[in-house]
Amino acid sequence: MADRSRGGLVGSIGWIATIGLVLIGSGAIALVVGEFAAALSVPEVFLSLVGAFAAIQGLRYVSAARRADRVRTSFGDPERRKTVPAPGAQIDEETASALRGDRGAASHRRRLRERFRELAVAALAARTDRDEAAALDAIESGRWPDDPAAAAFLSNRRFPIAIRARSFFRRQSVHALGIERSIEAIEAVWDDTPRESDRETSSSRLRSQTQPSQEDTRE
Amino acid sequence: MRAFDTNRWTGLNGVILLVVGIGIALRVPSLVLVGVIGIGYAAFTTFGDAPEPALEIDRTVSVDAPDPGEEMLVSLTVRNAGETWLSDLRIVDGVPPGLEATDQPARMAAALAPGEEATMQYAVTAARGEHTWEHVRVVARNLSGSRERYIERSVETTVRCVPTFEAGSDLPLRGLTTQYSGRVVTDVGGSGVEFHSTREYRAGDPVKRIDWNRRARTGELSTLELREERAATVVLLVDSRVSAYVAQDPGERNAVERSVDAAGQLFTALVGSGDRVGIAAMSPSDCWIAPGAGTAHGVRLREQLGSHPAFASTPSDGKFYWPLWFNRIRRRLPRDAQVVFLTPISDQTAARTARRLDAHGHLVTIVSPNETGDTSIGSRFARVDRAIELMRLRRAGIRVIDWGDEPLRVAIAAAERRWSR
Amino acid sequence: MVTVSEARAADEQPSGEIDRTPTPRSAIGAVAFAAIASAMLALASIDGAVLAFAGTIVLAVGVWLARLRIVSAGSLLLVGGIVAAGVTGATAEPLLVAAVCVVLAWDLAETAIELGDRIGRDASTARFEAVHAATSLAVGVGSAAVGYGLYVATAGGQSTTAVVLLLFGAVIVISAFR
Repeated sequence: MADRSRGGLVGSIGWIATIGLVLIGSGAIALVVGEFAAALSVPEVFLSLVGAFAAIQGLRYVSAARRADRVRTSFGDPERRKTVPAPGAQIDEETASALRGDRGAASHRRRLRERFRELAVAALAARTDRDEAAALDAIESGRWPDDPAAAAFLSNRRFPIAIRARSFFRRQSVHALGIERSIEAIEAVWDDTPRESDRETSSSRLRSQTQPSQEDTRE
Repeated sequence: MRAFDTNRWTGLNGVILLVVGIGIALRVPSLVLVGVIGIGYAAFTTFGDAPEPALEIDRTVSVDAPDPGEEMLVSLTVRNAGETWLSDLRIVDGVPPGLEATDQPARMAAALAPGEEATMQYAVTAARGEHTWEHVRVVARNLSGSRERYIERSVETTVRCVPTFEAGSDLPLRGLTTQYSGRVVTDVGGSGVEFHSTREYRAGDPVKRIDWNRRARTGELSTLELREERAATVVLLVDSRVSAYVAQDPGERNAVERSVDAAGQLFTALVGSGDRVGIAAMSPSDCWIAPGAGTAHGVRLREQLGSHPAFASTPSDGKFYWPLWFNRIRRRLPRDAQVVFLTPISDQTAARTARRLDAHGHLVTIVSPNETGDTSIGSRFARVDRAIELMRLRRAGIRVIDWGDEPLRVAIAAAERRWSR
Repeated sequence: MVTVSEARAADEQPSGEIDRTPTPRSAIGAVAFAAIASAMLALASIDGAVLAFAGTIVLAVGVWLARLRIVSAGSLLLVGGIVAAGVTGATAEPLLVAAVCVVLAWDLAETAIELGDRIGRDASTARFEAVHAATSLAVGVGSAAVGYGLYVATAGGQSTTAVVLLLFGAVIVISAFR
């Protein structure tokens, strides 16, 4: 049982514990043999000092314990069915990172802008008479969409001062506003353009009855 | 696993020192006495390590082969097979990822003397597929809870839940299969339903097809030739890559579950109408059943749809390499096979697959469960993105059934109305 | 088609969310022991009882909210009550009982919160909690007996030094073993 490098009592339990045992031993002897206690008895002042020191140490331990973390095994949640993400969860994550305001946020914003531009180009090409190049040009130059916040986000230009001021007072990031308005603009182009075809693809989740579409009639 | 400190009693020593210190400094013997109690507990916390429990664990499930939606009662019995007291056990059963405990959590806390046992019961609702229980997770602590140890014990239990896949008799299939090489009525005489011609009787012709009227009139034996009907060859292809596992509401069924359900209904209806049906999965785990007909084949398809890992309600592990997969499916597909592709179109790969199958001369019909919504920016993005992709596919001549919340029958009927115009 | 809609409806029912609030038995036990501690101190010292009563309320709130930090703060207030009672000259016996009750109150409160969080309020934990509380009580009673024995033995008063030596030795030994 003993630690071979040291041997004996000290080796097996360590110096501190040995001192503690010596203290206990002398205390026990002092309890029984009055003369021993008298020999050991210390001045009152010294006793007060020891007590105060112990109390202060105790206070330090307690406050340290407040910061100590509890350690335990986590069981996880096996009772729940494994959940799957919603469509677009990746975009949501990217949006959250882009709005976090730390050092990586700018690159997340750039990636998000790319994705939004692609979608906007596709929607514009499908719903307006612009081709893809013209659509991209309109977006990059800030001519589309009309909403200034969305246009600033999609074209990567400075947000107008009015929008900055409003965001400041609403304690909302201008980028959050830009992203929100961008998706609104894209949805507006896709959903509200008065063209019958493909209407059902965009909102059949909400409406069970579908409408005929031009694309399919030729089959 | 090794035992570790939980820090449960951290701070107790500090409180003891504080109280005893005040007691000594102010000469209050009763406070020093209170310190003795603290020391008693402090000694208690150092007493004993977290035991390594010797457990015998048994799991029983009330039904081995439940129907979907059926409630199963699971009971887990844990017996202390060792010599030591297990005063602090926390046990959590590893419910399969595809199942959910419905009323009670699958957990218990137990204190077991040697030889003693404790049982917990919980209910799970069966869902389609093969479900294997994971490790039982056990935490054992010493008496005071100052030390903890985590162990896992595996107890093999598997249940299979194969649904019946009832097809509504009103599932409109014409739209799905008759466009090109479908169930075509041919000009070839043979067996069938409709009259084509008569010919001289040859030995071996089925008695049923002898023209008895003519025999009665003229005494000659002749055989009826009926117009031959050719069955369609259809392969139901389910997209079950990780990216296809999406659900608008995490509590609801996901796109793959809906796809597999739809495949089940379609194959029942197709087999019922005499088509040759096969199934395949676009998935990390390989699944292919060549088109065939007959009752035995139908049973096999049903089994595979019900329990093959590629059709599980949660994603299967493993990497998916599209080019390898596509080459394999292309070699496997019979030349005249039509493909019904069940996919949420959650990414470009799904659309590309449809286009490439189409380019290889297969008639592709996409049945796409729509799980997109308008709850978050991401889901709004995904909704428009998917809608644009569907539009492009339609423009490329691929038929798309956009399947929202309505029953599949309604979605197919709506699509068919558009196609037949 | 009917099967599909039925399956959907079944899935929409509330699922087995674990109720992670503290387990009731240990929680009630914890508050009860804290209250006993306060009552004991009320027998000995008004100052101590006031502090301890405040501690009891804080501890009860902590258990209710399942917040361990609040429970610990309440327990410290209870300890403060004991100290105050001792300093204002309370006799040893009620302090001894109160001290055991305070440790038990903290222990049970922690158990209630931890069990609720990890195992859930609805799981079967009754026997476990009983064993746990009984063990803690036994340790407390045992320590109190030993302490009281020491107290009576040294009642002569001349051997304070001996008791101090014993206590410090014990604290050091226990710290070394942790």
